[in-house]
Amino acid sequence: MGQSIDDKEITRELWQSRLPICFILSDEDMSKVNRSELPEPLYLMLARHSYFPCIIEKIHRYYSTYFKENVNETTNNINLANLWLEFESIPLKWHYPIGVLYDLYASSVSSTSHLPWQITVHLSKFPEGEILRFPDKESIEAHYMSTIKEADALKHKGQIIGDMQKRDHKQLWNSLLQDKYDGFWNINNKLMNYTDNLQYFRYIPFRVYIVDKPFIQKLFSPYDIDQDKFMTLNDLLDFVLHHEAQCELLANEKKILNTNVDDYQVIIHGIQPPINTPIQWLSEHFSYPDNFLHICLIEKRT
Amino acid sequence: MTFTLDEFNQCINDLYDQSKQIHDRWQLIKTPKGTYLIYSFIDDNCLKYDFHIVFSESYSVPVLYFNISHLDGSLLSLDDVWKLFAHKNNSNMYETITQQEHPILHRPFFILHPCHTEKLLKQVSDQSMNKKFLFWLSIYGQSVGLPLSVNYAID
Repeated sequence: MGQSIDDKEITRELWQSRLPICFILSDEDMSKVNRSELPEPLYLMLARHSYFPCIIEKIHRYYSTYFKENVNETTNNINLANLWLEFESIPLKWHYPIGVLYDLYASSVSSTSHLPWQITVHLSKFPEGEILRFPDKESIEAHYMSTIKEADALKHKGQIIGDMQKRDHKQLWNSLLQDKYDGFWNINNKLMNYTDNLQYFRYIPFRVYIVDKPFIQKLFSPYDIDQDKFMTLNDLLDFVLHHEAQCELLANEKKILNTNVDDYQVIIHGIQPPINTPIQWLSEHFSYPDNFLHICLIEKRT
Repeated sequence: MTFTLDEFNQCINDLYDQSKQIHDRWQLIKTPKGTYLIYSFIDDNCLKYDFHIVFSESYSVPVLYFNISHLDGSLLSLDDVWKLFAHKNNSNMYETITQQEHPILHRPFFILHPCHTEKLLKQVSDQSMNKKFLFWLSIYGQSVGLPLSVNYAID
């Protein structure tokens, strides 16, 4: 894909986009506060491409003054290590980027303002059957690195990430943590190269999210060799929706999802890109720092 | 050195058939999203082990997912898991095991990183598909306590 100065500006703009978020302690935990004054909501401005576990410590510190540390560490007790986040009764899968969770759950068609995004903080009853644990920063880094490795496996059979030095891997992660666009893209640019004499990636790393469904990830090539053309976002979603409908039929589901792409709002980074955008271009410019395209589909209400 | 989806399905079906013959515990689960193997048991310390063998389309290799839980259902943390197997491993904890979303069940499982599997399989590239699969399973499974009967290696 040809690269213009404007294209690079897009990646910088996406890097800078933020969400205002308001954290409120759950009623259940609020009732166990052992101080006369109750905690005020915590307001933070967070990068869409970052991860909630990166600020567990910050939320931790904020609420720690209101609770005594509980020595007993089982899942059900009040314990800052059992901190988790919830929105409208849904435990937030915080291994997904923050922007993906917002676009999926909080940005629906018919509503007026959803900002700041109000999220409930829980300090007990960690739902370990539903969400991952991140006991330290290293565990978040490990998860991030495994995702970026998977993306490179899809794009380049892992050749580029495999050839990189350990310090390059570290630079990706640390730049993400410290919000350093240049530091990040100096290394990430290499992951956008082509290999094997192709003018595109082998497969596109992507995940499609629809509310109340697990994410959908499939092998998809950005180029149709037979028809000699680049596949578009519309082509990818068409493929994904039809494949998913097939699975639902085979599983004897009562209700099969709508396979018409036009009946969905297609959201990446809070933006609705034109549906005929080549998916190769989107992969290079609209991927999250983990090198995956995280695409939210919200059914339009008629 | 990778597997196609068909090769993987053949290998797990074969292992399942063998398992039935020797009265072992492997279960074969078929879903529209993919077929996978499960092996569950409870050890002498009342810890329940659940191992899943799932195909990774991204890496074109089998991947070992697992959870270890107390009998009350609560899951072992990565720290606990590492302590259980530290004597079997000499590498960095986070380089080998992370918690991830199971690709078919979409809930938390530990996973042994598949990024080195292809390199490992090169060591047996001249072997049959089934032998390659067993080789992979014996190496990865051993490091996290999966018991594998020697009977599987016998043709």
